[in-house]
Amino acid sequence: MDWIAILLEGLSGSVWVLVRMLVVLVPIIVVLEMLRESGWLERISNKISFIARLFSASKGESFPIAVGGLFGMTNACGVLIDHKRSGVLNKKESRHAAEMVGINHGWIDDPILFVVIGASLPITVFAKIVIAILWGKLVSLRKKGKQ
Amino acid sequence: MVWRKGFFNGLRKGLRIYLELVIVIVPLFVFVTFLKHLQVFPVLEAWLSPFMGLFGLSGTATIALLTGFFFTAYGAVGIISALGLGWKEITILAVMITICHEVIIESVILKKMGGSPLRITALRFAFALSAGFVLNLVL
Repeated sequence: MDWIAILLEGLSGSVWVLVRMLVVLVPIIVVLEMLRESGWLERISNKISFIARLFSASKGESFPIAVGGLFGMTNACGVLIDHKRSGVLNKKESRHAAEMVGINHGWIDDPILFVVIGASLPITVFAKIVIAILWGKLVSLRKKGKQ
Repeated sequence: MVWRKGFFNGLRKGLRIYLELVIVIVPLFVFVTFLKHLQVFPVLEAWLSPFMGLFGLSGTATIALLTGFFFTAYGAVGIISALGLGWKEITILAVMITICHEVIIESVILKKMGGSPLRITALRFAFALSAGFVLNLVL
């Protein structure tokens, strides 16, 4: 076996993936960051909070969920801890929000990564929406049951 | 001004994430190329295809799925790109892994957020597997 040849094959094979990611992923992150810096993030997250309500979340829970969707789980965690401390959300609500964010975060960057390497964009997005709605129903059923 | 600041911050952040991806993807890509030449995949096919077939996946895709579940989605992307799978398999993997990934690290974050990591993780696995099962039937 020619180890060097295999090494070179692996390195050259990975180049196309890296180029496609550079072209697709980096601009998307730049746009997201510009939106955040300009304050539009806040407005957009508030606007799309209605989507979170589609997932059976309450009004207060929907902002951290939208942040988790747009900016990832760590940011959602920060918002959630802040909301809990300032009393916007009670213990039960923040647990519910954590459960929602747990399965359903990274709405943009994660799917894009897979689309770049060949997944179907419409099918991936559609499947994720269906799953988020089902998950929301399940989680809120439990919430109602315990009240 | 604000837009400019956002642009440069975004560029820095984007390139940092990109670098993280490069560091994960390149070694995994080389690793998978070695596995290919070592004839590991026919063995995986023979052992795991009956089970993975439930989700429309070949036995070879097992490595990608497990990497995604327990480590990072980035790692799974590196492996999938080296395996040369078809769009159907990649789409199923994409849905399964975006539901359930990095379960160990994310459990810690979930705990901090006030959720129950064990229950959420169990449900993530259940949702990921059933999504794969349904997608295989539909696609």
